[in-house]
Amino acid sequence: MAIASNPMHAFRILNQCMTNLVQLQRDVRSNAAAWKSMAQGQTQPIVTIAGFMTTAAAAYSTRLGWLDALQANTSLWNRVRTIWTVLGGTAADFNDIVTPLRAVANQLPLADKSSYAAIITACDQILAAVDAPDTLWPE
Amino acid sequence: MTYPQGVAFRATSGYVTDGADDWGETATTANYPTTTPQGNNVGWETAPSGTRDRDSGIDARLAGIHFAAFFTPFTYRFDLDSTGEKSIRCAAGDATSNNSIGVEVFDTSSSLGVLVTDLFASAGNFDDAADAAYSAANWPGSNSPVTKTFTTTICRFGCSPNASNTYVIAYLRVENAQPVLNRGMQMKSAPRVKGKSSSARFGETNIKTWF
Repeated sequence: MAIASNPMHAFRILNQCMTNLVQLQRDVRSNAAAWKSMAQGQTQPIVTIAGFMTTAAAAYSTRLGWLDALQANTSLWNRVRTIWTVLGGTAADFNDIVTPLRAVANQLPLADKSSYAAIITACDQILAAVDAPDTLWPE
Repeated sequence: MTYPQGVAFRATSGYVTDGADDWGETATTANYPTTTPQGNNVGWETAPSGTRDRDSGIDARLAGIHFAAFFTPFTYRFDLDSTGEKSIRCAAGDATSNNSIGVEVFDTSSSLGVLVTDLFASAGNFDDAADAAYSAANWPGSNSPVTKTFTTTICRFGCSPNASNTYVIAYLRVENAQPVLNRGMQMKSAPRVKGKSSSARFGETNIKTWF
């Protein structure tokens, strides 16, 4: 027997949105810190770090794309928003997180990564633009 | 995404220094998706029971563990950059304690076979992807990969504890397989057989030596 999608399923999607976005916020910062450390210590070739940064930007875009796909599914998106509203949130909450993360994903492939100093500068810009998410335990 | 991607399981990120292709997984929650510094999306889909730092004096890939206990399965996911043949390495074991091991690999939900047979392993021994045990000193230079063909871009590693033991994993690595120039001879001499039979493992062993 088919199981019709109900608020439990929409709540699952909401949970996945929260997990994806907040963990992406964390990953963007932790990866910038990792690349900066590699550049400061010159532990990896410049081209290797630059490659990591470019491919990570693609991975970030993939994860943001999942939210784009949800928002394009008007019916499901409205049901998710309804639950989010019950919890006291607004659609702007999503945008507040997505906007700076999308800026990183879009600008990172174009950033100057031609030297260790340039990589450090790019990482510092990311760390300044994206705050660490609240967390219950040390991350 | 770019491969190779190695994941070294341990409790503390800075406990050891990872290699260029490796990343230290410290989460004990279901943390998929996580984007590694190498740019790949990976993570626990079902949370493990816990993690430990074990020995920072051995190879960094073997320095710690994640574990699952008492019938609690764990699943670790790699989002691949493409379908096709992937070379897989693993280290299943614990540097300092006797614990159970057992690892199976899946193409999304289709099993591609058991990599590490379910058994109770002695401390300081690590089974590789070809199910051979090595000491911590010998695993880095002696462990062998196995090649699996993926028709999807989701690679999952699973462990289903079937006894009241603790199951551990130290390291997983996925990379795109190198082109095989002598594939015709390989297929005539040692047809690959999926599964856990002794003939399948014999075939994989022979294939490995030809690589």
